[in-house]
Amino acid sequence: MIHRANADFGATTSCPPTSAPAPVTSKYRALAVTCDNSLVPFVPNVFVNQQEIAAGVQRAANALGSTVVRIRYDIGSDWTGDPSIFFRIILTDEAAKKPKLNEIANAIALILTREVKADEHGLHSYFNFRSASEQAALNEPAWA
Amino acid sequence: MTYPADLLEQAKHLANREKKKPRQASLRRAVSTAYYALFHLLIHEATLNWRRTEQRAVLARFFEHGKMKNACDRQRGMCKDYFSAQPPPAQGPDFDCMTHLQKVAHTFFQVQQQRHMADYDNSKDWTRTEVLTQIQLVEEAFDSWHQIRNHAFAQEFLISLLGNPKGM
Repeated sequence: MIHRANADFGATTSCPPTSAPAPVTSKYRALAVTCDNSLVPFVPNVFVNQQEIAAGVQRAANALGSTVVRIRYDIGSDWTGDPSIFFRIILTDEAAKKPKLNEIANAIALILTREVKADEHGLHSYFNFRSASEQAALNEPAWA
Repeated sequence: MTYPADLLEQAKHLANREKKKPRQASLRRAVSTAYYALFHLLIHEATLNWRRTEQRAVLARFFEHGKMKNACDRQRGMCKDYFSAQPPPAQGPDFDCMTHLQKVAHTFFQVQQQRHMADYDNSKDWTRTEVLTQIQLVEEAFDSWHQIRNHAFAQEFLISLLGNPKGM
């Protein structure tokens, strides 16, 4: 479902499905409002079709196969206030080894860009990569 | 080595400084330094066009992070339009230049945001993999830039980093 956020951060004009909201980490909590008891990430002046984005991420994950353990994302604003999507990608330890890392990270970013088409949703894309063992050590909920 | 290349080398050093358990301070400074390597590379290249060498450092102070981000966003849009044009663009120097410019603009955009988080968001923990991917992006952007630095498109991009001209 498409929802639009008001520019004054006051309220959303409609709510996305309560079953599949994108996770909102504490970092972006200021950019979220409650709606039907669920947190709804929103971006001022931008329509965000969360189902399309979720489907795109799923397609990318399917295409990426065994190098990726999981992909998480948030929608919020970057440092200049531009609407953005922040991808958090956990790689297998094998994929995160130095000689391969750059090639694999570039390929993943390319596939996510192609499948999610974030720019067509008015969102800039940012990518962060961790290895599975790094995440296991940190145990950060936003990446879990 | 030039100052931007020194910064890039320093970013790599910081990212790998502690072999077993990297300190957050080292990782954060590595991300920030990698961004500044690219920031200063582009400014250095732009100011080389100023004939009076003694004024180049002053000119460099006119470049701003936000305006450079906007210029990179515009460049990414131009690259996208170029590659999606019908009929498709022919292979050649222009095509290669746009490919590399896309890489440079995308990387600047990406690492500027990462730098902001590294410098100001203490709630975030960094890992070596996160940092190395950012540094490697910058390293690739350096390589791309050096291949196209004399192309007309690349020189136009440098001017655009100062901001939008009036009336355009």
